[in-house]
Amino acid sequence: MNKYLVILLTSLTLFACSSTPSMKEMTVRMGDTDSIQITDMRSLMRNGVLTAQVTIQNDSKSNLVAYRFKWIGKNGMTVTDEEAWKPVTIGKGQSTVIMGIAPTPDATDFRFELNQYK
Amino acid sequence: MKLHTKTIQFSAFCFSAILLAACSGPQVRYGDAKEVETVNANYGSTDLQMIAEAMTRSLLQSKAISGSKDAPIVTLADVKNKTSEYIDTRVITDKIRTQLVKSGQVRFAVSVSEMQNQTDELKRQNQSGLYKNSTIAKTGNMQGAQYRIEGSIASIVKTNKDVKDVYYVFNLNLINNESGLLEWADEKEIRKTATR
Repeated sequence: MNKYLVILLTSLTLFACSSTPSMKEMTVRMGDTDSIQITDMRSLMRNGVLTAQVTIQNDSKSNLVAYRFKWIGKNGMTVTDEEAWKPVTIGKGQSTVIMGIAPTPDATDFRFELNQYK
Repeated sequence: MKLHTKTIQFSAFCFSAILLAACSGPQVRYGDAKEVETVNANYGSTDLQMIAEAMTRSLLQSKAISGSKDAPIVTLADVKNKTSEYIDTRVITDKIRTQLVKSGQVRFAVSVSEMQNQTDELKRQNQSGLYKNSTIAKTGNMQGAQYRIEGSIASIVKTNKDVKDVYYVFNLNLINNESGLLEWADEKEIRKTATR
């Protein structure tokens, strides 16, 4: 019985360690941004700097949306101050690709933040 | 008599209301410096932040910077304002410099505009006779920059009765001082439209 419990706990730990966060978990929404869909999210190290690419699609008429990236280091702390919100113009039914480059080589992960602006 | 009392009461009420409004003054609150600013279509804080961020990140990823063994020494040259607006381009380059220095990937040599302060300080230490010899910053040890950063900002403005459309393009170049080669260049475009 104990043997099975150990195997179960080990596999659960391994699963927890290996799981990567989903696009939904990596996106932080503020304000009314429900009409903006995240259709793709990927990242790679380019010339030693983490580069992220996020594809967003607008399903509504309103296009007053702003975004920014939060860059995270190995210990889970953010590597620099918060970025400025960047407005993006995106028409109804249109999708656009947003690129983000980390401010330092220390960044190993990122979060994508979406916000409304007036 | 009754009417007279009512008039006095009403006047007193109006006077108190005006006095209260005058005393309360403007409401002041702190805002988010990173928030999108859309007061009008002129060059603003969001434009400055977007330009500086885009240029810094692109430069950090360039081969000239990321491929160097040691952090290369760079200096700031001019960013020319070719727009019809007054834009303090020094603020843009200072912001780019701060972000690059914070990344730890680049070192900066004093720029032309900062040279006077640098030489004044060296002269003060070396020629005043006030300092202990072992602590004096020696002359002839300043380091020359391998690269210089220079660029320009230009705009196209179109207006009619109802619409003002502004297009900004900011160009930045990294030039190798020894070879004269353009090692990196990038641009940031911004379009703003104000409608009545």
